[in-house]
Amino acid sequence: MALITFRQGIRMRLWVLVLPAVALLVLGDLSAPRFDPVFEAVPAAIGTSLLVMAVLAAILGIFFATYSLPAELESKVAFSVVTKPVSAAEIVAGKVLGMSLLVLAMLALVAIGGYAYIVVRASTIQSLAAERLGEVTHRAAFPADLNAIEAIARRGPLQPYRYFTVSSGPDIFVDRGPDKAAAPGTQWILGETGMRLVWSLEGSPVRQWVSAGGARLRLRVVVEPPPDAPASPTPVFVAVLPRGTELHMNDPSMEDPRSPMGHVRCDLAPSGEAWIPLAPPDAPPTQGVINLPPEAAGDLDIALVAFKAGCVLGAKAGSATLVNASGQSYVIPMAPVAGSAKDRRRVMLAGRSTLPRQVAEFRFDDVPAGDLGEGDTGLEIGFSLDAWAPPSVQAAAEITFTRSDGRQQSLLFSPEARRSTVVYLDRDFWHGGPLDVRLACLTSDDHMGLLPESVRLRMDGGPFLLNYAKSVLRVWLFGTVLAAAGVAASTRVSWFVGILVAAFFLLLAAGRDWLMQFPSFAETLFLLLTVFLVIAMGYFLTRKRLRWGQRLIRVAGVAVLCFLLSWLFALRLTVLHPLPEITWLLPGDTASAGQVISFGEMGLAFALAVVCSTVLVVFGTWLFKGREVAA
Amino acid sequence: MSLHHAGPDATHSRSEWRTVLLYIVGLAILVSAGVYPLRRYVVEPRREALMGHHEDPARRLSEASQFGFDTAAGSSVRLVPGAPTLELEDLPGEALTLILGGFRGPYVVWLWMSAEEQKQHKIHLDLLSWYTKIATLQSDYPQVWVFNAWNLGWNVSVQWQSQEQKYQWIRRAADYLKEGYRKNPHSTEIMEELGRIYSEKLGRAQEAPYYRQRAKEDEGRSPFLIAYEWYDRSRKASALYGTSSHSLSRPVAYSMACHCLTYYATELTQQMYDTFRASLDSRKAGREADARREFQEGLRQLEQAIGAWDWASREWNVQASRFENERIPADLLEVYRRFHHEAGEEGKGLQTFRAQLTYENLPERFTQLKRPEIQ
Repeated sequence: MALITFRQGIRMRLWVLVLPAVALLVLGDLSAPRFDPVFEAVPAAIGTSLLVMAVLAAILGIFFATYSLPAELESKVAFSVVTKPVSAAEIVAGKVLGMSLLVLAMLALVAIGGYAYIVVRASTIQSLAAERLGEVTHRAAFPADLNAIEAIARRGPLQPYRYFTVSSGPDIFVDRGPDKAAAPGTQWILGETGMRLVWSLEGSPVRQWVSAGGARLRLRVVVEPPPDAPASPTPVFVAVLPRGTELHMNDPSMEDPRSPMGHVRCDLAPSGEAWIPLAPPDAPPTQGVINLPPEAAGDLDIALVAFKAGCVLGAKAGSATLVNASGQSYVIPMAPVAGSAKDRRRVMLAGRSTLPRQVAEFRFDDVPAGDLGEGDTGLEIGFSLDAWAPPSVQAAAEITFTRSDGRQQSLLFSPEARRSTVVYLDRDFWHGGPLDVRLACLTSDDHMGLLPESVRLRMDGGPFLLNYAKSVLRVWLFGTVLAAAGVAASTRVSWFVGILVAAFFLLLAAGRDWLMQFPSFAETLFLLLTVFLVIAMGYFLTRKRLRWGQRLIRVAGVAVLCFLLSWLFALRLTVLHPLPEITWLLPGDTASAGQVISFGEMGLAFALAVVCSTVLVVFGTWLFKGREVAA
Repeated sequence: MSLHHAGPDATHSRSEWRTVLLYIVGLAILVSAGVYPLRRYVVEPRREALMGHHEDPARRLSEASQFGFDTAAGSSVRLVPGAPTLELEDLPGEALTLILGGFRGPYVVWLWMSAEEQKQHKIHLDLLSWYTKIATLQSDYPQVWVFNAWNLGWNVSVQWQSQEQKYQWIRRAADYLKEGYRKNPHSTEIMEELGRIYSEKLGRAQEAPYYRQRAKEDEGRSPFLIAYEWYDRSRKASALYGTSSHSLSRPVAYSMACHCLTYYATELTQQMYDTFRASLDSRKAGREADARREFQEGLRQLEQAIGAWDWASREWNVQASRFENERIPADLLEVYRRFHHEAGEEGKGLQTFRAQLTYENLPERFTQLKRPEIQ
C-alpha cells in the first residue's frame, strides 16, 4: 500500500515541485539583504533552504495526503482494495508510510539543490571574508577582534559547532594586583561596583539587646584606598535586611524620612572602623540610626557597600561586633560573604582601566581532548553591555585562560553587545583538560552583564553535510506527521474538507505555544471552533433516516455537552495541552547558525513523530472503519 | 485489483491536476511578463498624472539640468527627474506585489508586526531583510522608507557596541534611503532624511569623529558636504514639485542646507587647526621636514576653510533674501542674517590670518587661533 501511494505521487509528477522549490530557495535568499554577509549569509541560506523544504512538506501533507484516499473512493478503486484481505489499519498506515516516503524523496531532491547552493554561497563568502580581512585589519582595536573573520577566511563558513557548557561560574571577585599580599580568609569588595559584604546575624542577640535599650554595630574592615590617592574616609552604605532580600540602593522609599530607616550612609574612617546605632523596628526614624526589620521578617543580615571608585574593602571573621547599652559585646563569628551586583539573572561586572578591578571566573572541568575535533575551539560570550561610558569610548575586555598546570594566556578584545563574542583558543596552548577562564572589563565606568549560561566553549561539530542531513530529516519528520494528519482527515471527508482540516491541524499545532500566551483569546477562539466542529461531526455521525428535528436535537445536545466539558476541564487543558507542538520537529535557528543537532535530540524528534503519526493512524483507522466502504 | 490500474476516473483526475498546474504556470508567466510594461507604461504615468506632473519632456530636460544629470538620476542614468526608475532587478518585487493582489495588505501588516517585534526584542539578524521586503511591497510610500531608515540609523545602530558596527548600520540606513529615493524621486522627505543622516548622525553624533573619518574613506567627501547636497536637492525638488516636508516648516527645511555648510566650514577649520598644531609639534621635536610639509598642508586646508566660510555666508544670505518677502517670524529672519554675518566674519578672520602667516611666525600666530567646535 505504501509503495502504491508512493508510485501514485510519482505518476502525478509531483517532483516538478522540486525545481520551483530550489529556484525559490535561491531567489529568496539572494533577494534578502544581510547586514553582515560574512557572518549571516550562510546561516540565512541554510535557514531559507530548510524553510522552503518545510513549506514543501506542508504542501504535500495538506494537499496531496488528503487527496489520495478520497480520489480512490470516488473512482471506486478503494472498493476493490477493501475486498482484499487488507485491514483498514493497514490501508491507513500504508497511505501514511507511502506519503512519508514521497516527502522524503522530494525533500532529498530539494536538499541536494539546497546543499549545492549553500556550498557555492559558502565559497563566495570565504573569498569575501578574505577580502574583508584585508580591509579591516588596520581598523581592529585588538588582534583577537579579527579571530572570527580569520576563521571564516581560513576554513570557510560551513563549520558546524557544538557547545561545552561551563561547569561553574561566574564567580565575581576583586583582582587587587600581583603586588598585594594575600590575606587568607579575607573577603574583598571593590567600591562603586555594587559588590557587598554580607554578615549573617543568625543566632546573635541583636533583637533582645535592641529591645532592651539599644545596641550598636561595630565594623572593622581593611581599607585599601585607590592607588595614588590619599587615605580619606570612604562613603559606605550599611543596611540590616531580612535574609534573602535583594539590596536596592536606589529604591526611593529607602530615602523616605517617614519610613523606618533600614540603612545608613556613613563614612568609614581610613582605619576601617565605623559605629552604627541600632534601634527597634517601631522607634521613630532617625538619621544615622538603623531600625531593625520587624520580628516577622525572620533572620537578618548586615550588608555593606562602598561608594569610592578603586577603593578595596576587606573583612574576615570577627570583623563585625554587636555592643549593647551595658557595654557587653558579641562578636559575629562567621566570616562575611562577598556578593556581586545582579540585575535579574545577569551578574554585573564593572569595568576599570587600572587595578584593582572586578573579574569574573568560569571553570570548565576536564574537557575531553577527543571532543575538540579538528576545527577551531573558541570561547563564546554573550555579553549584555550597559554602555554607561560615552559612546565614543570603545569598550575593551581582557580574557585570561589558565590551564591545569597553571600556565596562562591573556587576550585583549572588543566585546560586542548584540551578537556573541567569540575568542579563539590557541590549540598549542590548550588541547583539552580543565580550563579556567577569567574575564575583566577594562573600560572605566562601563558594566558588562553576564548570563551564567551565555559563556560556553564552542567546539568543532564535525562535517557540515551530516548536520544538514539531520536538519533535513527533521523536516521530513514534520512532513510525516502532517501527512498522517492529512490521511487521517481524508478517511472520513472529501478532499476539499480534508484540506481544511489538515490546514487547521497545522495552524493549531504550529500556533499552540503562541495561543497559550493569550488564554482568554485562545479559549474563546477554540470554544467557537470546537462548537463548530462538534456540530459538523454530529451532522456526519447522525443517521440519515432521522428527521431533521431529531437530528438537530441530537447535534445540539452533543454541542452543549462538549461546550460544558470544555469549560469544566478548561479548554486549554483539553484542546491545546494534548496537542503536540509539531513545529518543534523542525530544526530551529540554532541549527541554521551551525549548531550541531545532537543524536539525543534527533531521537526525541523521531519518538515524537512516531507517537503523533501512530495516534493519527489509529484515529484515521477508526474514522475509516465508520465508512460503508470499509465497514 | 491494485491501485495503479486505476480506471478512467483516475486518469481523468490526473489530467485535471495537469491542467491546473499548467494554468498556474501560465498565469505566473503571464503576470511576470506583463508586470513590467504594466507598471512602466500604465501605472507610473497614471501616478504622475495624479500627482499633477504634466510638464513636457523638453521642460523636464531643462529642469534636469538644474539638478545635474548624475546626481538627479540617483544611481542610474535618467534624464527626466520626477519619474521613478524601474530597473530589471525590480521585476521580482513588482511581480510579487501584483501576484499578492489583495493579500498584499495583510502580508505587509504581518511583516510590519514581525519587524517591529524583532526590533523590540533586539534581534537584528533579519531586520534589514524584513525592512527590504516591506519597502518592496510599499515602495510608493516615502514614509515607509523614512521610518525604517530612522530605525536602522538611530534606534538599531546605538544598540551595538563597536563604533565600526554602529557606522555600518548607519550606512545601511543611508543605502536603504537611496534606494527609496530611486523609487520616489519626488520625495523631499527622503532627501531630507538622507541629509539628516549625513549631517546629524555621521557628522554630529557623539561618535562623529570616527564616523566622519569612515565616511570620508568610503565616499571621499565630508558627510556635511553630502548632507548639503541632499538638503539642496530637497529644496529644489520642493520648489519644482511643490512638495514639502512633513516635519519641518519650509524656511527651516530650507535652512538645513545652510547649516550643513557652516558645519563643513567648521570641520575644515578644525582640520586646519590640527594640522598647524601637528606642524608645531614636529618643529618642537626637531622634525623640520615634517613640520614644513604639515605647514603646507595646513595652508591648503586654510584656503579651503576660507572658501567654505565664504560659501556658507553666501548661502545664509540667499536664505535670508529668499524669505524676506514671505511672512515668516522676524526672529527667524534675524537668525539667518546673524549666521550670514558670523560666517562672513569667520572667513574674513581666516583671510587676515592667512595674509600674515609665514612658516616662521606660525608659533606666534597660532596662539591667536581658536579651534572651533561643531555645535
